[in-house]
Amino acid sequence: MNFSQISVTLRRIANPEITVHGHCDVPCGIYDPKDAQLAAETVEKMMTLMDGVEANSNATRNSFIRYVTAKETHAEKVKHEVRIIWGDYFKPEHLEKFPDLHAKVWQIMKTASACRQGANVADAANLRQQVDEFADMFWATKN
Amino acid sequence: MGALSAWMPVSFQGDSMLPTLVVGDRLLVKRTQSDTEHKRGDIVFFRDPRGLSDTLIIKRIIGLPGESVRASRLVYINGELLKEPYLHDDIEEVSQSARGVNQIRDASYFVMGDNRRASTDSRDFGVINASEILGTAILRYLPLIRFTKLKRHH
Repeated sequence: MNFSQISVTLRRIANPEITVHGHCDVPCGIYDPKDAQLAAETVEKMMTLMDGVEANSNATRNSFIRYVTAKETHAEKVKHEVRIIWGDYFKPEHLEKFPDLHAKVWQIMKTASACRQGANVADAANLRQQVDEFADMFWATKN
Repeated sequence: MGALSAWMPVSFQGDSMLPTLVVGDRLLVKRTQSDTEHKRGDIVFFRDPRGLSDTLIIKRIIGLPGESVRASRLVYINGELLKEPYLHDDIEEVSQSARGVNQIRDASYFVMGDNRRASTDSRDFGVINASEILGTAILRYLPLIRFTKLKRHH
């Protein structure tokens, strides 16, 4: 192999002619806080329903447990959805516009945990408001 | 693209194999010699099975012929969770969007990208035939700092 062939081979190794793609149809960068907002609303709705359960029968106990389960699941979903947008979408430059972003997310995590642990409708209303504010921040930075 | 050599260098593009493969990685791939050589965990490439383009797509083999697969972000093979050390640590189950096949037909494979949140793969286009697999990625040679043999893990 002469120098020219070696040179061509090295160039081919450094810059292959063939490209393989880790393909994804959906372009990255699609985010939407509506799932978090819907989950927060569900938490509030479930707590309201829990408050309305009075008679102590199998049927009402069953309903109550279902409400609690849905509350737990959706409070966790709020945390999950908010974390994705916070971690993947928001960039350092957004902090210039919303310097309290991190604190706001931290507060959402705390409030969502309080909603999981307890049954205080005021916590759920607070969670919904905080998530709505988070969504406002998102849309205010979205081009 | 002309005839494939037995061994060849390729460039990698896209996000769907994160964190294993990163845009710009240079891989050494081995041309497929036999339809039966593929194992679970192999990173293989093939043409877009939907015929939408001539794009060469690279994914990991997850399900083998005869197996049942349920896949969302985590994967269940014949009802058992598949251990996948190459995934992001924070991967979680999204069972409501699980897709799969009851029994993978002969000489076919269920393939997925390692980046489960951003990969178009067998969850979308179904299994691929063994004969469609053009080759297997064996190692990453560039960048040198991440030179590594691409393990099967299984």
